[in-house]
Amino acid sequence: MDRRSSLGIIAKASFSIGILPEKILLNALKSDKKVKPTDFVILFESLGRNFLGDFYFEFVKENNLGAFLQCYIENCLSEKEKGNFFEGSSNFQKYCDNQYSSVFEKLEESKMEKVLNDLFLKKEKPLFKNSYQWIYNLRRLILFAFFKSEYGAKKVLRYDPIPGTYIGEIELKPNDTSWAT
Amino acid sequence: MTTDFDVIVIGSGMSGGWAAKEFCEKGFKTLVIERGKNVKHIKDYPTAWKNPWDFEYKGYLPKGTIEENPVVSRCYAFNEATEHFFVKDNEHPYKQVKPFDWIRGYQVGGKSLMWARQVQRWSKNEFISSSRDKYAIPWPIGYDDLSNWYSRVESFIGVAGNKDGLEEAPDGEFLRPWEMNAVEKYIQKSIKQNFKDRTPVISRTAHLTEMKDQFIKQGRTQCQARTLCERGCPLGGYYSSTSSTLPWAEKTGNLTLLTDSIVEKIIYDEELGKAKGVKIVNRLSKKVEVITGRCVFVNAATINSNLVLLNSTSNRFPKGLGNDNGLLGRYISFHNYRGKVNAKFNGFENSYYSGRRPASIMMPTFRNRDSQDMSFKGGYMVFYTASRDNWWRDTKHFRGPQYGNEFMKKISMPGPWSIYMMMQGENIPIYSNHVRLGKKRDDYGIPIIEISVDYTNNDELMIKDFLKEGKKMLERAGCTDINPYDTKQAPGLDIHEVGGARMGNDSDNSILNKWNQMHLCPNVFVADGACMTTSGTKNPSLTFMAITARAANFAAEQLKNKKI
Repeated sequence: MDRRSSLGIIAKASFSIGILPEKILLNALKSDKKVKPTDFVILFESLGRNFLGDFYFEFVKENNLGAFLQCYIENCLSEKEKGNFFEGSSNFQKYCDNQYSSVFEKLEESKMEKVLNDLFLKKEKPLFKNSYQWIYNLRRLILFAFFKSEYGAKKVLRYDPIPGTYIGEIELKPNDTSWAT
Repeated sequence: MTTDFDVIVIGSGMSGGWAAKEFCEKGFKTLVIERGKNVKHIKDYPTAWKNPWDFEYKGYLPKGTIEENPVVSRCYAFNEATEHFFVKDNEHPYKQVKPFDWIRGYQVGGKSLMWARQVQRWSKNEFISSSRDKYAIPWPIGYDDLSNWYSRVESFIGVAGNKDGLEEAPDGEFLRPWEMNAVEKYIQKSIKQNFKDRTPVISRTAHLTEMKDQFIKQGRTQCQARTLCERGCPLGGYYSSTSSTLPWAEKTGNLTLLTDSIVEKIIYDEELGKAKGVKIVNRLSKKVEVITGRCVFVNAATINSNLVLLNSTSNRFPKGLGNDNGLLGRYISFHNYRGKVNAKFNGFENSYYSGRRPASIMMPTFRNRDSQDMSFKGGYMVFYTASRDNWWRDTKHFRGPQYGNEFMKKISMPGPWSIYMMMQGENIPIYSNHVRLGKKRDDYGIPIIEISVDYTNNDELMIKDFLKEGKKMLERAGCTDINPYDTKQAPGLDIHEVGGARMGNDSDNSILNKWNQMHLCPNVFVADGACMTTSGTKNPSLTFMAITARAANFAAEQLKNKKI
């Protein structure tokens, strides 16, 4: 799938839950106006596209990653954790805007790659406050959403809801995936 | 509904189910009273077949639920798939004089629906060590008194286990044992070689690993290694009273099950010198009713059994039923779960396992076994498991800019081996660890229970010893990154609280005799955790069931011969 198609999927997934248009979002970020969690659905989708690689395209046929993450962060995390995620997301978009005059999801692929690599590498010199922890935690959440989905569990891992029995020792062959989720 | 029965059983869970089965089989008209809602086997397990993706939060609970329920949220089994079986913190309040996480299940089946299903017989030593080492009154029964009853229970509920021939973990009527994986076997071998007093074996669990006529008759089928047990198993793959003893009792035609009914008190008849029935409050209508019976079995789970007895006051027993010595509610003990050890293991990269196993590796106590040779009293069991890390290992193992196709491929494969080890320590029963009635009352006018239970220095010494020994055992086995730690968790999370109406030979220092019969009220029997003189080191449920079966058969004889 090419970049245009993938952006189409991201936009479709995000539009379905009523996302703010990009300019409004950027204005909100610049004016320090309180950003609503739904503002990051497109960002989360876009990060998911980068993190999950080609798995993303099958995954999003049945799953709305950005909306799930927004809902999960909003409802299942502590106020502190929630704050960290949304503040990090806001700072990340501000960083992208300062560097490239664009939100992350609109960047060219090479620029996306550079930003992500910098985020993961610059533990000592973070791009913004707690940027390293933010991206690691977000990747973890994306993996959680992915591997707990039917596609991730059954098509990528070998999840079997009814194993029938437990076998203590089996040989792990090359490229065998985990069966648990 | 008739209001007169041969036997009234308070509580429908682990042991209440056994009382119902034994009495109904013998032809006694038996009433089981459950304070919570009805749960019908299969029909009322709404999440039993759901997959992670079928849940709104993929199995996790919203923060709001956790914040509203800080106590029950600390229980490992409380999640999006099981929350309907747990009592929420504000549903039945209690006072924590000292921090105590009281985990409850108010429904037909009680906690037998969500229990951890580990079933080990007590050893001979466990019944005698308390008097031998002078940390509690003598048990009025020993292993030989219970051995046949253990067999009776095991044969009926189904117990997977291996005949290991260990004195400290007596063998029972076992079904095919669960298997160990390669690393668990390796560690087992290392421990046996390096520590002559220690023998890890596969734990015994109340799961049907093979089928027998007895289980088919109960309508149960083989465990499918799903480990979704706490949701209720529609296959009846593990023992719960809802899948096993209660339907069995129902088939006799002698069982009446009364749900949504809270026992306020046992009514004592001063002329007859025994109990004549119970006073109940309907949970929904708050209607009060009296039900009479020739015999009362108290199986409401340890703390609620104490509550019922303490609240059963009369002119004869102003401090609670049978409580002339003032010891009712005293000597509560539990299991010390604070010590844990995490580690890594390098090797066996090509070895894996398949299915989800509801068992772990257990090691019977190697401390104070034949005499007290440590600075602390009592013993502790050790459990461990080895498993391969899954995708959630990403933070630790995938440093740097890793994402995309290659990353996903790597993280989808099983990761390194992780080891988890924990202690299950005997907590010494002391007078000051107690429950009592508070002045405040709940919505039904019943006093709120106050719990004052804490660790002692004995527990601290035991934790220290386990952390040292656990580390040593894993070091010798070649584990790396060994991290022993103390969770500092409050008592209660073990969900093994026992005592308060302890058994004993002497009515001056105990509440029950060797048949679980109240010394001072002969037609009332207490046969759940409240009866326990000490906590021992083993998971207690099998012993609750065996003790209940034994007591019920004794009571049945007494009823038949009109002695009670």
